[in-house]
Amino acid sequence: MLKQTGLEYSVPARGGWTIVHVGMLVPEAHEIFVCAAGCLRGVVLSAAEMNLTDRFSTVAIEEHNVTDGDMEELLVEGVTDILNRLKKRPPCVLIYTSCIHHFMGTDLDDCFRILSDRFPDVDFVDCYMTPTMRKSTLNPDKMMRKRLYAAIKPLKTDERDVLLCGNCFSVSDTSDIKVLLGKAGKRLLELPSVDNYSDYKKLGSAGLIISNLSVAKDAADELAEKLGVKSLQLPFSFGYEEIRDNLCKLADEIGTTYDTFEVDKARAEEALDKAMKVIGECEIAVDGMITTRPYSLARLLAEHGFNITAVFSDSVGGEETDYEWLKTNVKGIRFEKCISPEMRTFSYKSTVQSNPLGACGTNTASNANNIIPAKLLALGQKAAYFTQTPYFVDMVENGPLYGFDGIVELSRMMTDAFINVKDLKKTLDIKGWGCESCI
Amino acid sequence: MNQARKVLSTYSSDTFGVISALYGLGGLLVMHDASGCNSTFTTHDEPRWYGDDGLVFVSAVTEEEAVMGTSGDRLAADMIEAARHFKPNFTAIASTPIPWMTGSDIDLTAAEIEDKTGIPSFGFDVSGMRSYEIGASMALLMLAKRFCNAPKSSVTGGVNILGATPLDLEDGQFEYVKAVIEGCGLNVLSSWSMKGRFEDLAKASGAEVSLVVSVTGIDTAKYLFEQYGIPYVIGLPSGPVTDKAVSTALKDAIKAKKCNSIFDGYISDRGAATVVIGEPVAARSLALEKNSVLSNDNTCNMSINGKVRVISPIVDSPNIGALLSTGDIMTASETEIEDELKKCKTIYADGLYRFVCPEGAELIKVHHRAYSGRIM
Repeated sequence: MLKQTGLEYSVPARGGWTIVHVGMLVPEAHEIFVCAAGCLRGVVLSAAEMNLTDRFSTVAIEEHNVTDGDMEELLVEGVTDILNRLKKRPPCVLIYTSCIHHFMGTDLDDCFRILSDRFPDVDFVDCYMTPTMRKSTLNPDKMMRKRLYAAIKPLKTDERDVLLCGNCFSVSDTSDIKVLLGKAGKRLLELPSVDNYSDYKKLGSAGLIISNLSVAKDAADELAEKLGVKSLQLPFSFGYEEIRDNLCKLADEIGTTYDTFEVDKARAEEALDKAMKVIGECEIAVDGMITTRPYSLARLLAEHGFNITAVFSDSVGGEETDYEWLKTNVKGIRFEKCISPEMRTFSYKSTVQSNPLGACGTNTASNANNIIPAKLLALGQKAAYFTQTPYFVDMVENGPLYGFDGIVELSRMMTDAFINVKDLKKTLDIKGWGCESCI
Repeated sequence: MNQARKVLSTYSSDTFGVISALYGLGGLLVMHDASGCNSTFTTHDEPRWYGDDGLVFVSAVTEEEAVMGTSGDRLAADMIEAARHFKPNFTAIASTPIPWMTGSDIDLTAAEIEDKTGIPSFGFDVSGMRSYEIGASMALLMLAKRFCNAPKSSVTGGVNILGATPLDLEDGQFEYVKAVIEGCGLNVLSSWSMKGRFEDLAKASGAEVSLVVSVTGIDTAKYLFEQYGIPYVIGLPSGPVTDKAVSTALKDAIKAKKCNSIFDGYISDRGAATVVIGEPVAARSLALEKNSVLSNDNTCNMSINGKVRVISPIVDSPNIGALLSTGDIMTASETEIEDELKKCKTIYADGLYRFVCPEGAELIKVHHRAYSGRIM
């Protein structure tokens, strides 16, 4: 048993979005990363894999720039050179600086001032690839969600417009939020659904900002303050009470009532029962990649009789109640930290001796090419990798799910994943779930 | 502005070169990095990662550690703990921009790990700002200096393959190289390091000749020549002409105890309309191969007006210049490459160069993992 160590392992499950993917949500924006070669390597190939090379450029920092102290000149002249060589001037440029700029005290304000003077027709947005800040309060993920809305300016408020802030995926049309807003005559605005820069700028008319991810709260609050409107947090959850409370809170804010709790709950119950009839006692592993609330999801499923055997997640942050409930009520459940070095040689031991669809026993990621999977349903790519099951729900960061409707949809996805085998390696190899991929 | 790239990709870095060269030899490998290096390396540069149990981690250095200069202490403790758990053949630390910039003493950290565990440990003070061949070359040389210490006992026909990593060679290419060596009556004694075994490294001093298949193997080849008198041949078998050239050169080197390269006598024409872009050993070997086709001469006669020239887009290794002929160029500048390609009709290069290929020119894709990773 390896004691607590600060070394970290990287699971070969690539569906999670990076700051490259997130930045591309700003339509027509051009990303320019100013970093060392090692840092550029990952982002430039992410953009290429997305077939978005035409919206992506780089400026490489070399050793002499550090010793010469010309980081400002490199940034300004590098960006200028790229913009002058692009066939079409983008309306917005996201400039990503890196840890090294901040350690060297690069005068970024001056760089952006000069660039704005040189290119007055371009909105420059300062973005940050600063992994040294990963464990800080304002980590790069939270920062990136904030920067997504930086180029939005206040417009005349349209009270009909409600902006869902900070999500990478639009919620489905049948989601509880959209239905409730529709009932009150409101429209839901979402960045992932915006097609062009002109429409992006129109997001400045929002009369209310809502957010359902903890990483998006800072972004929502900042945008709301800028637009002079209210920010409302409706945390994503699989817990019935929490979902109901969120919908009531939203209803109060938009001047209506949430009065379909019993009906919505019954729909969710029915969907879970239906899934249970198919999936039965099959072991289920959940991860923190498929959803921002893996413990809430595991608890919901365990409360409905599903056989939850493992949760793969790097932290319990914000879900202590659900975590404690699982620890107390689900016998034998294991909690695994994905980044732990020991996970490199992790073996998942099935609790069953045999089942109709596959061999029982040990699934080991490190002998992945030779194993016959035990029948196990994984919810999320990392859970699938660690258990080496081809039966898995492939989704990241809650996908389009929200509320009771989200539970109905997830039940359907689980049933489908239980029946239909996926190519595990091929699926996990593709970066940025939901994005175009040239692979 | 040579450092600005509008559309072209970037080559793998020195940090990843270190790890790629050492991977597969049973080491505990750590990139002294905040986050991101591990994912980048294992996604794009290391095809063996999925389903393998090679040990590569990041140190997860934080802002506070970097500012306070305490990352080395914690890294040593973490690696000692991990080394005791995993019992690797060796441990290695490759630096990245922030530890490099803040002057983190990774040699000292490595020495502390070795002192506490008895496991051979190395630090590589790379910056993450240079290209992969620098790091891979350092790593292979370090292996030679530390582990290739068996008493000299010559193995007849024994060949060391030097500079083989997945950054430059596909699996199939490696097997092809091996087949060419075996096809001329020689045998592979050790591979540095793709598909190699840790225990074979010590045997390398008994080889009769080394074959350098990429620029990353040159420093190690020179070391083995100086220490053990093992001559080396530079060249990558890439078809009938170069296969034969390599076979002949290996035998000549054994006989004469002299080093040579298969393209020593091939002088490319600066105005040639056919160009190969890539790692210089592979690119020059392919140029030689294609020149024989264009010249309708399969006898491997050398030419002073070669119809195929080379652009080496990796520029950091001091060994690159000597590999090129007068018609070849070495540049990492996007605009220079773009201008050069305007003169070309046929371009052999990785698929990601398609963005700078002029209209009317034919791009023949030659995958180079160090450039496009797994996506081309």
